[in-house]
Amino acid sequence: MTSSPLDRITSYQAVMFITNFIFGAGILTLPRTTTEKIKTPDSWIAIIVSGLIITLLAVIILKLCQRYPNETFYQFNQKLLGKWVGSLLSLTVISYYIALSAYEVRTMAETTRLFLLQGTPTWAIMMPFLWIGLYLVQGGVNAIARLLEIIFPITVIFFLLVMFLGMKIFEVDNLRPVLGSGVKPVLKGLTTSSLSFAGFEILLFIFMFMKEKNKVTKVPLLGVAIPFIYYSFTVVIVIGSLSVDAVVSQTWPVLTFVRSFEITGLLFERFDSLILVIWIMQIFATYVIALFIATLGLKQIFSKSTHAFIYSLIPLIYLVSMIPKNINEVFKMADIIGNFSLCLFSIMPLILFIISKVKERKYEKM
Amino acid sequence: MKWRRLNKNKMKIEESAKKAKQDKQPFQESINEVTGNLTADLNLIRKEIGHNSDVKFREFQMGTTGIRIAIIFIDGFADADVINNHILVDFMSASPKETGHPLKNSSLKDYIKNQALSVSGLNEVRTLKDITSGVMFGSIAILVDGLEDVFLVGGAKAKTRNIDEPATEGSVRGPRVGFIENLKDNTALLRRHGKDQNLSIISSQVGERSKKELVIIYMKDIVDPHLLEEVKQRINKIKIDDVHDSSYIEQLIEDNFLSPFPQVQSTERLDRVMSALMEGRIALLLDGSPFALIVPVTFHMLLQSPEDYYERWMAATLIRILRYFSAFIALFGPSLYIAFISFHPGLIPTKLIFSIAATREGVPFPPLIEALIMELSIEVLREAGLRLPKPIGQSIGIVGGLVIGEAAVQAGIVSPIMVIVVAVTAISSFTLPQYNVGIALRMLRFASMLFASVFGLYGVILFFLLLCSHLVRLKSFGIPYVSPAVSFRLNDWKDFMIRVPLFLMKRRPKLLHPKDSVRKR
Amino acid sequence: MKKCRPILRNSFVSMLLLFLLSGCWSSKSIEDVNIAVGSAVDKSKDGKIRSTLQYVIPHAIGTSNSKSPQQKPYINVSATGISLEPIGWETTLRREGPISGAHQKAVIIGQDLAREEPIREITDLYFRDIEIRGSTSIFISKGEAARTLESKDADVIPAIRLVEIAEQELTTRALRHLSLMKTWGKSNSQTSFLIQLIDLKKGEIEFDGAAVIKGRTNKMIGILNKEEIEGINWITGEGKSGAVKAFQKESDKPIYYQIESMKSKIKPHVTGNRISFDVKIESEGRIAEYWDPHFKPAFKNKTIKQIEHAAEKEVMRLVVNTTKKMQKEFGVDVGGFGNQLRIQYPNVWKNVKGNWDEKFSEIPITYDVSITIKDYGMIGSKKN
Repeated sequence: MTSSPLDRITSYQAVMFITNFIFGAGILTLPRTTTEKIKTPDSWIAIIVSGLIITLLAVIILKLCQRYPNETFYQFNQKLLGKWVGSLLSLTVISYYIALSAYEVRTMAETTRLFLLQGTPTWAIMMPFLWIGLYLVQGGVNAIARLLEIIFPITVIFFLLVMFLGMKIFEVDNLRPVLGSGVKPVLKGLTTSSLSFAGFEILLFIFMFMKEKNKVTKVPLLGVAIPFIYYSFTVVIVIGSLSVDAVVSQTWPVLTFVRSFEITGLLFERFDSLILVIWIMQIFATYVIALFIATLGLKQIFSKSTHAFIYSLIPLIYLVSMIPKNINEVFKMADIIGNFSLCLFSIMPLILFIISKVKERKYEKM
Repeated sequence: MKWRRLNKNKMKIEESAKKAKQDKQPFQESINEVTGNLTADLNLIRKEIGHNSDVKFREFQMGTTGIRIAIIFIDGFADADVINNHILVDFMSASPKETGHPLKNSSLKDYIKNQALSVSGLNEVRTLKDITSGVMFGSIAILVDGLEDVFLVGGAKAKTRNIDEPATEGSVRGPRVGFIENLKDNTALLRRHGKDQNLSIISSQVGERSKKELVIIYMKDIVDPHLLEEVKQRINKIKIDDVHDSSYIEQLIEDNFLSPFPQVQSTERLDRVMSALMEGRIALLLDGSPFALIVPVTFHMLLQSPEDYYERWMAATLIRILRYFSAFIALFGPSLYIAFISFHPGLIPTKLIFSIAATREGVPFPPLIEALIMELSIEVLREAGLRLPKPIGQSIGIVGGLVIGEAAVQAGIVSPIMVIVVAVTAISSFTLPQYNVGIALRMLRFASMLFASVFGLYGVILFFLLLCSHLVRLKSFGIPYVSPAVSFRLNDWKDFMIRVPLFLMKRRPKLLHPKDSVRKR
Repeated sequence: MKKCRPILRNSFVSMLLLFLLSGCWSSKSIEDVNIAVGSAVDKSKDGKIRSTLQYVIPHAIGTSNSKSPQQKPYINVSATGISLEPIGWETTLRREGPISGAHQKAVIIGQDLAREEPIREITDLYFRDIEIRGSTSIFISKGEAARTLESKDADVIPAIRLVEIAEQELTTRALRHLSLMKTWGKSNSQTSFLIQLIDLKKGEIEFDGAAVIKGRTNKMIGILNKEEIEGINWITGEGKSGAVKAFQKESDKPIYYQIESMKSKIKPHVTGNRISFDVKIESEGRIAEYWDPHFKPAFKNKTIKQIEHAAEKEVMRLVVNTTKKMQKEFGVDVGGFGNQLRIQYPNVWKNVKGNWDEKFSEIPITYDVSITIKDYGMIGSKKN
C-alpha cells in the first residue's frame, strides 16, 4: 500500500506533516504549562529559544534521513544497530506513538465533554473519532497528506482570526517587564516549552515518501518555524490579555482567553466552542499521523499487511486512552509522553548519525 | 456480501446464455453465405427477417439488361432519398456499354461500383448475418442476381432535433449550443468548434446485444497517454447487453461505486467539453445520448461553470467564492442550525437567541425532527415539480412551498426560522452548476443532520472529517478528487477559488499531467 | 477499491448502531431552557447568601404580534443558601427547565456581602462554570443587589440594560467596563482594584461611584464617589470621553471642556529606598459649553489659554483629591501605580510587593496636567 511508486508526497506536504504533528492538544494548555515554570511573562522568549533548538534537531534528523533516502527509521535502525536492538527500538517508538495517539484522543474527549457535550459518555465521543481516523489511515500516506493540507489552513486561519478578535482585551502591560527577573527563569522553562514541539521527529518516518530528497533543508526549517511562530503568537496574546497570574490558574488558558471577550454585531458573539471544535480537527491530524506511523512501523517490522494491525490498534488505543482516571492524570500522561519523546528524539538521531558516519568510515577503509 | 452473490448469479446467467448461443451456431452456419441466386437468397433473408412488417423488399430490373435486382430496407428508417433519387434512378437508367454479354460477375460488380451507383457509403458483405444486421441498422441492402456480394448502402437517417441551448445547463453568456442525440451531428459540432488538427475522435462499440457507438475524444498532443490508456481499458471492460444512455457508461467506469460523489462529469454543453479537452481531459460521447462524459473530474471542476471564463475575472472570482459558500450552506446549513440551537445556544448572539427561543415556543418537536419534516417535504416538492408537466410543475413548487411552509408555521409544527434555514439551504443547492453534485450534497445533508443531532458541533466536525477523509481517498481516473485544493501547486491555484485574468493563465492545470503544458505564450 | 469495502461497511453499520443506541445525550431544547442573563448575590437576613437569577422570557420581548403587554420580559427567581451552587439547584425546584448561564451578562454583588466575603470566593462559581463566560460584567450595588434587577419599564431587561450602560464608557464619571476575567487576574495577584457601584434611584439604576476592593483581603473597604472616579480615570488615562468644568472663580458661569482624548504616563522614580511617582496627564478636546457672556471671545488665543488653564486646574484638583483619598483614607493603590513600578523596576517591586498598599500611602506623587483645546465647536463669534 505504501511502497507503490505513486505514494509520494511533495515537500510542501512534508512541511504539513511536521507542522500538523507538532500542533495538537498541547496548544490549549501551552500558556499555562510554560508560565507555571517561568512565573514571569517571558514564556514567549522561552518558546522562541526552544523553537530554535528544535529546528537544529530537526535538521540533524534530516541529515540522518538523507543517508537512507528510501527507508524509514524502522528499517535503517536495524542496519545501524543490528536486528534485535533495532527492532526493540522500533517497538519502543511504536508504543510511544500508540500512547501519543491515545493521549490526543483522550484530551480531545475531555475538552469536548467539558465544553461541548456535557453528559455525553466519553466512549461515544471517542468511537466515531477513532473510526474516522482508521478509515483515513487506510488511504495511505497520500490521503493523509491531502487531508492535512485541507485541515491546516482552516484551523490556522480560524485560530488566528479569533486571536485577533481578542486583541481588544490585550494589554501590553501584562507582558512587561521583558526579562524583569533575568534570564534564569526562562532557562528553567526551556524544557517545558520544548515539550510543545514534540513531533518534529516525524521526518524520520516520512522522508522515504518524499519526492524531492535533496536540497530540502527548508522542510524541517519551515515545518518547525510555523508552529514556532504560531506558539509565540498565542502565548503573547493569551498572557497579554489575561495576565500571568490569571493564566497560571486556568486549566485551559487559551479557551479561557477566547471566553473573555464578546464581539457584538457578528454572526457569533462568542467563539470558545467554535475554536475548540475547529481545533479538534488539528487533534485529529495529530492522532491520524501517530496512528499511521505506528501501523507503518508494525508493518515494516513484521512485514505483513497493515490491515490486521490497524484494526487491532484501535481497541488498544481506546484502552490506553482510558487509563488516566481524571484530568490531572491526563496532564501527567502528557508530561510523561512529552519528556519521553524529547529524550528519545533529541539524543537518538544524533547517536544514529554518529554511528552511521563511523560505519561509513569503516566501509571506506575496507 | 450481497452484491458478490449477485455478481455470481449474473455470471451464471451469462454463461448459460453463451452456451445457448453455441448450441445455435451450427444451424446458422449452413445458411450463412449468400449464394448469388437472387430468389434463393431472398427466400433466406425473408426467412430471417421477413416477418417484420417494416422490412420492405423491392425487386426491379437493371436498365435494359434484364438483370434482376432487389433492395431490402426498413421503411422510414433507411434514407428514402437515397432509395428514390439514387438507387432506383441509377439502376433503372443504367445501360452498361460493354459488349461482353452477359456481364461477368466481376465486371458487373465493378460496373455497379464504379459507374452506376452514385452514393458515397458503400459496403460489400457476404454473410447473411451482416446483411440482416446492416438492414436492421438502417442500411439498404442491394442484391444483384448473379453476384455473391451484397451491397450495403447508406446509413440510417434518424429524425434528429435541432441544436438548442441545453435545458439543464443554462448560461447567460456564451455559445448556446448543446449536444443532441445523434452522434454524427455531435462529432461534427466538435470538429466545427474545435478547429484543431489534433482533435482525435476514436470510435468503439459498447453493448453486447444492441451495439452502440461510443467515441473517445481527446487532444492528441495534450492528453496524458496513461490516462488515455486507462480510459480505453475501462471502456473495453464494459460488458453489458445495452447502454441506454451515457449515464450507464458513467456508472460502469467510475472508480468507487460506494461514493456519493459523481466521479465523471456529464454535460450537454459543447463549450464545456471543448475546454475540458484543452485542459487535457478526455470526453466520451455515446450515440443516442446528448450527454457527454468528461473524465477525469475533480470536485472543484464540478463547481465550475463555463461562464466563469466568459465573465470578467473579478465577477467570475466572486461568483466562484459564492458557489463554494453555497455548497457549504447546502451541506451544513440545517445541521449547523440544529447544533447551535440544541447544543450551543451560548454561541449565538444574545438577542438572536431570544428571538429564536420565542419562535420555537410551542413547537412540539426537537429541532432534528422539525428539520427532517421540512427537508423531506421540500425534497418531495422538488421531485414532484420535476415529474409533472413543466407548467404545472413550476406552480406546484411555488404553491406547495408557500402553502406548506406558511401553514406549518401557523399550525405550530415548525418554527419560522427553520423554514428560513431550509429554504436558504434549498436555494443554495440550486446554485451548483452540476445537477448530480447537488444530489450528492442533498444526500449528505441528511447524514450531517443526524451527526449534528447526536453530537452537536462536534458531530458536524466529525462529519466534516469523515467527508474529507473520504474525499482525499477518492480518485477519478488516478487524479485526486480534491485537487487542486490540495497537493498545493501555485500554478493550479490560479484557477481555483480565484480565477485570475486570462492573460495570466499561461499553463494548463498540472494535475492532469498534460503533454503540452503551455496554454499561452 | 476492493480493500476498503469491508471497513466502509463495518463503520457504516457501527455508525448506524451508534445512532440507534444513542440518545441525544446533551441536547436541550432551547425553548425549555431558562436563559439567565443576570444574577444578584446578597446577604440574607439570617447571614446566608441569597442569590437572585434573572431569566428572560423570550416570547414577551420584541416581536409585536406575539407580545402580551402586561407581561414583563424577565422573571427573577431567588433562593437562599450557604453558597451559590446549592442555591442554583434550589431554584430548579421552583421553575421548570434547566438553567443556561451561557448568556449571563452581569453579576451584581450586594455591598453587605462584598464587605464581608472576598470577591474571588463569591465569584468562584462564575469562573469555574463552563457556560458562564469571563466576559460577564461585574458590579457592586449600594443597596440590595436583587432590587437592581428590576425595572419599571415594561420592555427592558435590567441586566442587559446595566451591561449596555457599562459598555458604552461615555463619561469619565463611570469606571471602564470591567469583566469577570479582569477581576480574576487582579484578585489572584492581590492587587487592589475598583468595581463599578450601582445604586437604585427612584426605582431605576444609576451608576454611582465605585467600590474599592483591597488587594490583600479581596474585600470591599470603601466607596469612591463620581468625582473621585473622574480622578482615577485621569490618573490611569483610560477615559474615552467626558467633560470638565473650567471655572476661574467659583461664581463664574459654567464653561465646559469636552474631552476628546486623554493620555497619562505614570513614571516611577527610585532613588535608594525612596520611591516616587511622576504622573504626566495630557488631554485634547474642545469647548463644549460657554455660558459667560462677558467672557472674552473664543477667537483669541489668550482666552483659550485661560480656559485651558482653568481646566487644568480642575483636573489637578480632581486628581489630587482622589490621590489623597487613595493614600490617606483607604490606603490602597487603585490607580495602577504598582503595575508601572513592576514593569520598570521589577527588582524593587519584588521587595515591596508584599505590602504595597501600605507602602503606597506614603509615596509622594507629583502631577503634571496639560490640556489643549483644539476648537470651540460651531460658535466662535465675538460677543460683547
